[in-house]
Amino acid sequence: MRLLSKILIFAISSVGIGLLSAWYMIAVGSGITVATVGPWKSWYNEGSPDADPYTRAHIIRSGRLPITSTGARYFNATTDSAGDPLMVDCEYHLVGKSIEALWWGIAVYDKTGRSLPNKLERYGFNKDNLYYRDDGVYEVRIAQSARSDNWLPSSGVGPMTIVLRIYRPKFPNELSNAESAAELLPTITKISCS
Amino acid sequence: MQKLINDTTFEALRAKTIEHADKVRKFSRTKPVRWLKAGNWVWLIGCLMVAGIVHILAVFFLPSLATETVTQKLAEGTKANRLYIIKPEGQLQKPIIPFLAPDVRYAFCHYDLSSRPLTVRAPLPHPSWSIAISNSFGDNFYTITSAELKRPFVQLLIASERQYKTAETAIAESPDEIVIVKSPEDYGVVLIRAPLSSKSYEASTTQVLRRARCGPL
Repeated sequence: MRLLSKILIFAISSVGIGLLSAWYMIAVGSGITVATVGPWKSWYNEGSPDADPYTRAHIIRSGRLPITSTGARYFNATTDSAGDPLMVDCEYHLVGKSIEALWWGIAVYDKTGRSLPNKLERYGFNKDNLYYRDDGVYEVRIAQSARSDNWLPSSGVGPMTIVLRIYRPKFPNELSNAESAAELLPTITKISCS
Repeated sequence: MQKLINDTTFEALRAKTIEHADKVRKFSRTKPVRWLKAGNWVWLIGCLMVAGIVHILAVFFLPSLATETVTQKLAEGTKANRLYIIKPEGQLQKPIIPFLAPDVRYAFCHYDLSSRPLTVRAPLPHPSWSIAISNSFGDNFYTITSAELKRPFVQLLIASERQYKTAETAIAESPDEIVIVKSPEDYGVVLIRAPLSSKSYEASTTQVLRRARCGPL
């Protein structure tokens, strides 16, 4: 009986540890596979045919079709700069600098990867339709009620993801270096929650 | 005086050693240590080894366990080797591909090379427009932007390994400038990305995307 319970515990623990650690490495990633800059996370090799098995499994699980990191970089944020989870019913203030690239854009999604529905049908901003301050800095406000300048309307409840996608960055190394990337990627500050 | 100092140092050292030995003794009496001493360390190492094997299997076999690949999702309600324009974000109940950029218009063609190679003709009028080809698991094995092409139009011939020679002969005879791309599998997806500067360009961009073609050779 004692041996049987030992075998049972052994089987449950080994399978549990194996599956949980695999899930963590695929869903969240580690320093080997994911670059973390403040609240932003970017998988180093997403979309690449030579990607490591964790990145490949992550992409298959996500159902996305990314361009390789040599052609584009995708930065996802699920928390604000203070580390609190991004929620649709909260107001956020993003401050960042323009990035030298063929094209870049910032957009908000719900947890399933769908843009947040709104009457204005405004789901994101890109380098060409953002209002910049005189010093070249842009500010974006994500809120359920109207705000001035770059306002991204949000709706509903639940977690939110912000994606910053950069197509053909002029200086890709700047985005791979944590210090220079921190200068370029916007900060996300929570203002309030309803 | 020197003797007194030596005695004090010796006493302090002795006290520390006793204290440390006490700590070791206490630690060896703790539950986890007693549990390991009872021969359970073999189980622990075995558990970690099996966990490692399960971890590797889960990571490596997930691709084959995926209930639906991107190609299969795109194939629902669409025909292979034909180009489709994805509706703008506001008109979609549920996105076919999650996390699509709302200010990028997309056109896709999921292909099947089992009978013939595939030709893709696409206008790329703006430097930021791109055409990317991925296999059914989302591995992007070919991408080209209009900026790299230095011309506003691209013609691609996608062929599998066994079709490559025939495809090479076909493009040698063609007067057009065609790029030949070797597909690692018979199935995959061509995705054209057309970033918009603003919403006002939506209709004209969709109009240009409609001129793109995807079909068997």
